[in-house]
Amino acid sequence: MVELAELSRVLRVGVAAGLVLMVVGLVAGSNVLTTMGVLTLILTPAAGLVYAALILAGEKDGKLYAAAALLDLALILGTLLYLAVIR
Amino acid sequence: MDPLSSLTILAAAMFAGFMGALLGIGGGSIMVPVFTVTLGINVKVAVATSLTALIATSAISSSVYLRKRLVNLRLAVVLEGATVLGSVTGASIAAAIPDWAVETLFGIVLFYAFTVMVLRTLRPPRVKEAGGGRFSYYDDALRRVVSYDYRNLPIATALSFLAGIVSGMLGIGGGTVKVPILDLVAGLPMKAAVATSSYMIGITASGGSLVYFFKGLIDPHIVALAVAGIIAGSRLGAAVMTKLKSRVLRVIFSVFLAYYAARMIMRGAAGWWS
Repeated sequence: MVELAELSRVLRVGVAAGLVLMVVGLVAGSNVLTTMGVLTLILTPAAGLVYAALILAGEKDGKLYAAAALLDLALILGTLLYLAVIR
Repeated sequence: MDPLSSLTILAAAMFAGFMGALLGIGGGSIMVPVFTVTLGINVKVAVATSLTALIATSAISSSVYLRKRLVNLRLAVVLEGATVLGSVTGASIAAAIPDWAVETLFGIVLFYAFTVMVLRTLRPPRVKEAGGGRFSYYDDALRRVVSYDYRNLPIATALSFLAGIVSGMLGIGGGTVKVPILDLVAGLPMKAAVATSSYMIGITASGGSLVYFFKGLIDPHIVALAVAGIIAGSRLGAAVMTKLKSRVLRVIFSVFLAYYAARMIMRGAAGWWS
């Protein structure tokens, strides 16, 4: 069963990874690394939503809420897909 | 970007994080006007930077709140559907309208934040006595378990959509918009409202930031400096928070808000006129 502490860890690790990529990109003068860092940061809450859905799915009467979390995730990834691929 | 500009952006972001931590607000209402009025950065780039930096501050503060079980995860995921839609809509609108319109709207929202700040200074919010309910958390200050339930879900959802639009358009969120909805409309105790808002704003900002990213309004260098600065500033702010008088800070910050609100509206008016 996924715990709240794991969601908390995912958020912190996502931000740290994004920040490290951005700073390394800045120092190395690499736009690719810096942009990857920005995208990692932007998509960290989406990774958090996966964990939120798993937490809620494991709770009593939590299935509907887990579906709501997945819907939020679908909205973010749908926006990404629309802007990056379709448009 | 030259080293001096980089240092100035870093310092401005640190200031936003520092003040945000001291006053219990996100850094957006400080970062955007300072970046725009003082540093001369384009308002849409400033908004996009602020929104992306909010993801970092939200993740860091909500990770603490999640461990303390203060975040109402169920309510957050239900309201976020509307809020993410609002944020994407708001960011799309902001990217399409002229700069002067964004500046004017930002100035108006800053005046609203100024009014709220003055009212809170004159009349601090009362501690809500929560009744029995499905949700609970342990309150360190009260030294007891507080139980509560949420109410008015349809109204809170509709208002969350509007809050998402404001966040997406102006790069601000938590303290000024979401907390009042969760506290006053959904009936959450203040601590749960602040924690839930803190978790929600990161998800909201994610949707809006994607729009700005693909519109080419996110400058990775500015974002990197802003994120590093706001994290450092908020840690510093949290460390000295207990040593400063919040009433004095609120008065100083009210003057800051009024000044930048007027400057943003004047910039907007000048842009419209020319």
